[in-house]
Amino acid sequence: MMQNQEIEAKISDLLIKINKRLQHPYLMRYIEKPIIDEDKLLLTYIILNEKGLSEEELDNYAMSTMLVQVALDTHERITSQDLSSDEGRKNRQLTVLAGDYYSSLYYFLLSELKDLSMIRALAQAIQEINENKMQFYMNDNQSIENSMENLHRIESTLLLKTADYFHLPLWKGIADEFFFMKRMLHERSHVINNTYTPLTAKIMHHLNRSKGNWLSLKNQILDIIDSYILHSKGRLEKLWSQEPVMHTVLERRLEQYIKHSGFRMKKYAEEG
Amino acid sequence: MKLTTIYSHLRSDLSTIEKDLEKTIEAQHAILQDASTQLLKAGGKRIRPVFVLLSAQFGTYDVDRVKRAAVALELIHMASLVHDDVIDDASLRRGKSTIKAQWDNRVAMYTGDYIFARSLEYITHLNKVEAHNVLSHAIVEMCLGEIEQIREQYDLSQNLRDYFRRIKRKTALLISVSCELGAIAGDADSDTQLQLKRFGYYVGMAFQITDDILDFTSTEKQLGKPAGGDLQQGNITLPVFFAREDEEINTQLHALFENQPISRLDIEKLLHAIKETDAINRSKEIADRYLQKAFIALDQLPDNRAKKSLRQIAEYIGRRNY
Repeated sequence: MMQNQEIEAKISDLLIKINKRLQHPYLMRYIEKPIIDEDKLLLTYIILNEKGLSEEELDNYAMSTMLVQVALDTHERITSQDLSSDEGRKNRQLTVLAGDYYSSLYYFLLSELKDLSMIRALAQAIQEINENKMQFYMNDNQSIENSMENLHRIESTLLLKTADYFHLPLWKGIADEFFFMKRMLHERSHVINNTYTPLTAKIMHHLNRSKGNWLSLKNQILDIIDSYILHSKGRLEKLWSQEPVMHTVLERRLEQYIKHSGFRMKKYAEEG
Repeated sequence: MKLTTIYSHLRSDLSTIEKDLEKTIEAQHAILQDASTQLLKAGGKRIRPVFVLLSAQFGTYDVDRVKRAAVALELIHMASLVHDDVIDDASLRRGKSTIKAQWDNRVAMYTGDYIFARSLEYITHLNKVEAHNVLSHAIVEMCLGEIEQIREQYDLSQNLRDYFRRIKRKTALLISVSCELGAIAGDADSDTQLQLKRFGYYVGMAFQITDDILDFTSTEKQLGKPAGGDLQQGNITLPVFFAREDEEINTQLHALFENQPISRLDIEKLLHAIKETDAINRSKEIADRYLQKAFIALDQLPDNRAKKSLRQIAEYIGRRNY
């Protein structure tokens, strides 16, 4: 069984390799630095590590999966606002192209591995994620429940498909709840800091509240988000009990996010 | 002769391609579905699928296998157009509203990513690793080419070699890959694959040079967008390289690029001046040289109906007016 230090060393090594792939001197001059989701990388690594792949295979599969994630995240930065400055225009143009470039690299790497099935699995993940993004962003009247389901899919489909491809159903469940909960904790921090996000706008729309006392509205939004966090936490604990070793590193990370978001388990335990 | 007449014998297979294109872009979300369908209905010459189908006829032709490359290449082309419209901030394509204009940039990004992913999923059913190596390498190159194009905008220090490398990546590569993948999907021998790859590359170069010429010589109605768009966006194309040999035009161009944004009036003045030089004719000669090279590649291949059609398409590209 791998020690935590060994895992951390491997993740650092993969981060260096992925960053090297993402580097393009001209792009880097104009676009925001691409961010690699280390939790997704960690979970990808845990999944791949269970399959006894060669180091080269493991590296290429992990890099391909993360390149897809970075490509999607890069395109998420494209806004529709009018840009008057040359710098702003160039940033947008190159952000579009950077996402396309990272996406092409995933196909290239998996072609080198001659793994057409994995190309297909990741391509299906991209489709599903974009379908869910459309549903999330373009349906104002959608129920909160459906919006949360979209967020589940947006956050975890890539990992779900990878776990599915390598026949690891337990990690599918863990990925699904972990990344949704992480997103919810992130959303929670936004509400605490009084920052609007598409999700808070949807909840407000659902509560039929656009004006009025912000403090009471804020508490209502937090209550809704917290109920989803609590639900995911419960599900994760059940799943973790089936995987007693490797989940600990994820659990520690989640605790950090919980702490940072101000979510208090105790409050709910007392109320419950 | 019209382009569609040249490949009328492919009508039945092209109809299969069209049906698969429609089926492949089916999406659950209504806007995603509308956006993708709108793009499909806007038409286009389907030149890439045609090259795939014709090239495959130099081997063992099986439309069910060959369509995997044909449909995927058209979808990859379509996906790149959707993102190009965000890059160019374009509201019109082929005279119709673009996805980014009809909805917004976000929808355009999701649609482009969705179509690209659909194309990859579809082509993975072509169980030939070689085809994926060729295609994935070409897509990486195309992306790098687009990045280079942005880098080279308004850059008057670039040379002809930069231009040719740019149009190779921008256009010639995908046409070359269309021919090569057709040959691979049709199990043609390696020499045939190579000649078809070369043919596609030379035709693609001629095609893009002709496109660049038409940006000067066509009307807004013919182009579906204002003429001189390349110049307005700072893209220096072959006619400009030749026209810059005229010192007055060169000075005018420097002044124009230094004082952005460029007005329509200034663009029209410059277009007029460039058309007065021999730049258009010299560019046509270069396009023609590429076509001759394409014919030489084709001459290495056995005589059949596909070869005749490829030749006719190449000739059509060489003399098209818009």
